[in-house]
Amino acid sequence: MKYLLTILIMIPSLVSAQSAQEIIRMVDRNERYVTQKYSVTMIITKGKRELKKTFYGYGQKKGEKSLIVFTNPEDRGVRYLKLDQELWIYFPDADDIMKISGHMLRQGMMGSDISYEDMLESGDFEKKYAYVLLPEQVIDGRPCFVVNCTAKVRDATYARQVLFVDRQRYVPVKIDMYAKGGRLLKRMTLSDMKNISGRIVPMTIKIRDMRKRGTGTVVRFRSISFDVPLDAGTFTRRSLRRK
Amino acid sequence: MRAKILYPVCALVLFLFLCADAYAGLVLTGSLRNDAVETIDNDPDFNDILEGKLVLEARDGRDRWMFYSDARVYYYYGRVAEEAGYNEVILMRSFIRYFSTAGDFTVGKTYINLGNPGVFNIFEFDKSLRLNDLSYDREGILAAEYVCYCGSSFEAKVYGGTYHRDRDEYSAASHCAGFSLRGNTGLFDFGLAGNRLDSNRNLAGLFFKGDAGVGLNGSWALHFDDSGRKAFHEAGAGIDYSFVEGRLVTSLQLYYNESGAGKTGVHDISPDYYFSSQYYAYMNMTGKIDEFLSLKADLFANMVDGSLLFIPGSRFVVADGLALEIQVFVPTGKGDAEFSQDTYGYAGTLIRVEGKF
Repeated sequence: MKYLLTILIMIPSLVSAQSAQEIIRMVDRNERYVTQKYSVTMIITKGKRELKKTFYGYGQKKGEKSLIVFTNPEDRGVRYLKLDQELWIYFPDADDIMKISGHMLRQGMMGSDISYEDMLESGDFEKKYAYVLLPEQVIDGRPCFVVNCTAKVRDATYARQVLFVDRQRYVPVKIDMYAKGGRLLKRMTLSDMKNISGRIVPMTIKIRDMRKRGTGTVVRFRSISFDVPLDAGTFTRRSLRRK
Repeated sequence: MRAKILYPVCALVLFLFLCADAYAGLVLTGSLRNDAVETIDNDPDFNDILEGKLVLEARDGRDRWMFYSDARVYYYYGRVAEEAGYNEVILMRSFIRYFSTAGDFTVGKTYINLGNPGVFNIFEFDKSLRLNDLSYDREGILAAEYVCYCGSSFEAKVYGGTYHRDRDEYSAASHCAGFSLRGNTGLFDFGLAGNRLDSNRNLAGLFFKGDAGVGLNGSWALHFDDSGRKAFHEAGAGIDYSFVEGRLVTSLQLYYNESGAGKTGVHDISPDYYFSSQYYAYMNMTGKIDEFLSLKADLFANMVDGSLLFIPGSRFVVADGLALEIQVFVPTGKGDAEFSQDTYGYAGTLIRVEGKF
């Protein structure tokens, strides 16, 4: 889930790896960037009905800092600021900033299948999970490494995650997230790979909460650029009123 | 009416002048909302309120200046038209904000937010509640405001301004000034605020809001006149929690005002308190079936006379920016109770259609 949350995935294509740790390390290594800027269309589906939301955002240092600004009519002006493990929301009508914490973290962001906990699940992935390489599988015709990631620490959002990493591109194409009891909670599929600034980026990410029937969230990047200059104050609490 | 239109125009011209070298353009947004309200009793009546909202926003290309203006046009039908007239224009907010390294400066008609925003914000200027829309944004006041930040955990705010109360004997313009200091410890926001609302009307107090497994908030303020006498206490405390992965949210808010009526049948209007009694409770339960359909129930309880106002409702999102909402109002009190059927009828219904663009 960390890949979605930083709203970026940058993967190398010319490296081979043997162990699970090496595969993850290669994935992590190529996520490195200084800054990023993107615009996104998020489609939330329920059966045949769908809601479209749009936002743009900025990220810094592997997504440990990010700012998201919603632009669709229903949510226009709502902003999220993530500073490491803290998440803030700005309500333009009340001109008020609120910290999202505790039980609120379990709620879905704007009604999507992405929870606020998911948004905070980034960074320190290696510290939070232990990796085991499973037998390879073929996903959509492409051979993939399968890496089983088991939580080492109690505050990990998921007890277990299984990453299906494209063997040639070292891009995750599917991630399954499990609860402690072994129940599949969420599934993320990544597609429409595009080479941007030398990085292969999935332009479409689908997230399904497997506990809900007929629902799903599709995140589609309209544009994305890396290492763009950003104001020094982009990722501060006051930027919530400013951007 | 003319002043209401001229004011944002002047502010916009000033904004364009200030950021002429890096002007980024205007963004026009808004909404159209219609509330059809029917009361059910021996003498039923129908009211309709059509609200048009127009928001004009502009920023300079370097994010140093911002202009914001929010104007509302209302058309009334029914008994409400007899009280408010058939139409009304309200300039909710219109201000210019300058972002500097030293802080944010705002000048114009702006909303001053001190303390905990919500149903019972002790530090709120206007304590009238819109029972059909508790999250309705408040009208701003003419003010100059300065906010400075120290990292993400500390915020200081000062303001000075003037406002006009429309409530009966409090219709004169008042000058006000205040401050708030707000910090964050990780789990909790906490702060203190002081506010001079009018000549001889002052308050100072503390507030906190955060999460310790369950959401908790609390506010307390002491009201006093310029001589330090006529002091009375006002306080609020609340708890909230969500279940089922955040799809069921519940909250309970208690409110106390020492100057409120401690016996039944007294409904004096005062700018110092919500409703009129000393003790109130507010409960809310919102269940989100999915992103399209949600059910909710609000309950106001006058804890002095025991009357309740129960407001169940449902909201259905037809498409992004277009929603349909239905509410039912059921007062339970009798006779001279505050939420009395003799005053409000046996029940009322509200059908709201809202479109945003």
